[in-house]
Amino acid sequence: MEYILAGLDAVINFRCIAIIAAGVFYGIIIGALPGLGTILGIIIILPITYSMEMVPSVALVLAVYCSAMYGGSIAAVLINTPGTPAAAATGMDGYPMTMKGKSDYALGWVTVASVFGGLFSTFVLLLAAPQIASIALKFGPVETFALICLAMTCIITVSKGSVVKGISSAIVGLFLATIGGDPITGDMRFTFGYFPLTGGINLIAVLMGMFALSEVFIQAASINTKKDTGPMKAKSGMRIAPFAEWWMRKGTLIKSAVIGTFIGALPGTGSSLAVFVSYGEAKRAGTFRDKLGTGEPEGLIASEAANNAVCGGALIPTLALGIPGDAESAVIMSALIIQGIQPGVRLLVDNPGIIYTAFVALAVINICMLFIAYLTSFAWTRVLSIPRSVLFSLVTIFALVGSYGVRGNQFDILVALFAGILGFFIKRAGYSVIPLVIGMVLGPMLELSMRQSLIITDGNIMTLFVGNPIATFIFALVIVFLFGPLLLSWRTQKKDAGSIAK
Amino acid sequence: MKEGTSNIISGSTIIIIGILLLLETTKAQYAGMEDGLGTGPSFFPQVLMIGFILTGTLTIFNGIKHKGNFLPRINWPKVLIFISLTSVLFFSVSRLGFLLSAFPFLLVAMWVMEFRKKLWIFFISLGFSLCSWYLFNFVFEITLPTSPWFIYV
Repeated sequence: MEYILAGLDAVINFRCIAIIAAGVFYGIIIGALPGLGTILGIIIILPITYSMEMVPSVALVLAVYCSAMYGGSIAAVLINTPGTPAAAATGMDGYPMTMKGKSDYALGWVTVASVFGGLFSTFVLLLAAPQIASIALKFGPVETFALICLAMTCIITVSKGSVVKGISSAIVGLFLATIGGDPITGDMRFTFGYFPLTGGINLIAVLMGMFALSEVFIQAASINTKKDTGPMKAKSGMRIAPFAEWWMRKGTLIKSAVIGTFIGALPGTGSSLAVFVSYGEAKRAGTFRDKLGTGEPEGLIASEAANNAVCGGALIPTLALGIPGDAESAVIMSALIIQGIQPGVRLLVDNPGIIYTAFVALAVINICMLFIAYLTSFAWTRVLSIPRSVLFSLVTIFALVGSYGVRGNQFDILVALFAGILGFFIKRAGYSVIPLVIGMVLGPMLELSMRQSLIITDGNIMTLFVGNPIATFIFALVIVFLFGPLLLSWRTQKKDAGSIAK
Repeated sequence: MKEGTSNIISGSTIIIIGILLLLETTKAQYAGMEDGLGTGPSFFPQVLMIGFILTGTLTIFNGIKHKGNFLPRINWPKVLIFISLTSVLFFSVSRLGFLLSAFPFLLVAMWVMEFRKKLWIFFISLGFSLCSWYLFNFVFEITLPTSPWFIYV
């Protein structure tokens, strides 16, 4: 408790809060602009932190980290241009809400769910960081493989119309992820002697093409009258839904925050895995599961609460174990090292005050984010008052810059173009692009963990599935999630047939 | 085109691509370094391609079984023009640079998308291209593709 109070004392002062507010404002802009992303956002402000004291500099870095994660969802909701893979899930329900003229409510759901997820994970961390860290250490390749299999089950649930088409789409994504160097042996695969393919296919370029460009082509295809080119129906600012609406979705909100916090604490997993597991769970057991993907707030809650809960969760392996789980955490860790803080197991023992100050800062950041997001929402929603013919021409440029900006590689621009054309045609043929993106995001982790697991278990598949209690439990969940809905529908059909016969 | 026909076409495409990629994985380069458990570089792609061929077959069966409704009509000339325009932009940006490609693209794209206010088109195209060029090049220090004739543009 004394560490929490000391953390509050260090963070709750005008200077620190002003720095947090500036960081949040900057982070939201960075997150919302396609092609920049969280890592670049933190790197740009790193030089500013050199001359700062420890607490404000840590608070600034964390503010940019959390708010850029949130900002990514703004472009996904308003113009279907997700800047991050995790935001792709937000766009699945956010963009349909915008198309229905409910962008103000969509932003409200996204913001409050993000803040809730962030605060929830912070609260859990304050209470149980050492315990979570010890559980996280038990997750090896076999458990990670099981967890990714669990995330992959959401492909079944997000496949609109046909499950077979959803699986085909996911296989395309998984295949795209195999292009380039083999994760274990380093052998080149599917490069066909073309050098730029040796670096693999950039995920962000595929996202830009599949979501933004294909949407532009769809809009161009639907222009038949002058009316089709006007602005979208939009209300300015952000509106928060009544409490009763939130109460109906409380289960998904809490469950998603728990999923985000826990998966965030596992090294090497990241927000994408958390978001897809959470979305899959909402689709399986949510109150409004049948409406998910059509502009249902529960989908926004599932993805955003999990996404921002990851921010807190990811700090556990980074600070308490010294293991940066993903690229963002690695950049945060380097910012801490610059300040003379050496993350690792000893930090929790020798200097727990620093960890608890970071957690308190995280709570303040989330509260600040609520206010700044509300104030800036009026500017963001003005975007929708631009006529569609102008907006979608500008989105094409965003897609170009977004795909190029990540690696500064001109090949990525071509990838985005081909992904856009492919996205247009596969959507036209009734395939969903979401399973493709899920496949591409989880593909590298799936292959690596599967092959590592097979090496660990000496190629024994039985040992892989039943030789480890945590993995066995997760695999059992995978079987329930895969075959449960089929069994239920079979029983319902049997009952119906029985009642008709009577 | 009916949904069933579309399914037969997409299913056939999936099978052809699946077979071609499966054959690719049998090449010598994929058998290079095995990890001793038969899960070398070709293992995962082969599993995927077998799955791909199976889903393609199921899609064709679905297409034969259910003819379905006609797919919604779309404005094909418009979409083909826009895809061509975007292709020109994406290919030219590496040769002409960002600014010299984005500005004319926006001029033509807005016109193609039926926006007819000429002065607005000019100013939006110029303003947006310049702002994004400045923002990325000088604020975020991400150098966008440049033309062979100028240093920054």
